[in-house]
Amino acid sequence: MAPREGQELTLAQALQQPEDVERLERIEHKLEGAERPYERLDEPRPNAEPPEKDR
Amino acid sequence: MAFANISAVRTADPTNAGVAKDSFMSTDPFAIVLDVQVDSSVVTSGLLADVTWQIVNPRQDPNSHAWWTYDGGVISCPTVDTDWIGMPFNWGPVFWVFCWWSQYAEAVSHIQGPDARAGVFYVQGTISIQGSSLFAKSDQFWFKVRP
Repeated sequence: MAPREGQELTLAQALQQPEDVERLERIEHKLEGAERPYERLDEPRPNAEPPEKDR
Repeated sequence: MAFANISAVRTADPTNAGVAKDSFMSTDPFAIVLDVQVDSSVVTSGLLADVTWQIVNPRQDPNSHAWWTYDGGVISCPTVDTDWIGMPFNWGPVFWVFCWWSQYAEAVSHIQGPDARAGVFYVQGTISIQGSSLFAKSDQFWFKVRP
């Protein structure tokens, strides 16, 4: 996944310019079909099974 | 006396959960695996458990490595947590339980910062058995991700 604008900001930089981060968030959410930053893309998939030696 | 124990934790390829893998590309499939042992009385009792897996970025310096996200504002986000609430004990007293993503990058898709997709991190987990005093925690397992 290629770095996106905003991902390179450090936390300190982001805290100093929250309006820029918010603007990016709004812009990205308007891009239909585009990947959206700040959102989990995929629900994790939990699973469980016995160890191989016990199957 | 009843017990619960996490004997090991590791990162792995989800198709090979029994084998530890400690280096990933951010596009690689990614799983966090906990090896769990519980007393057989827990299995037969029909109790449920809550499982939590964590990816942890131990570097908190806001001027360099810290992870952050946006949730109506910029907030620090040093861990990515995944839960399975109400897991049944369908696999006997010895089993492994894991969560997985088709790419590591998907696990941290909401994370921002210079180290969002690359660095050295660790995973850990807990299991808490509902309606009892039983719980277990794992050790830490370190791994590396490249972009």
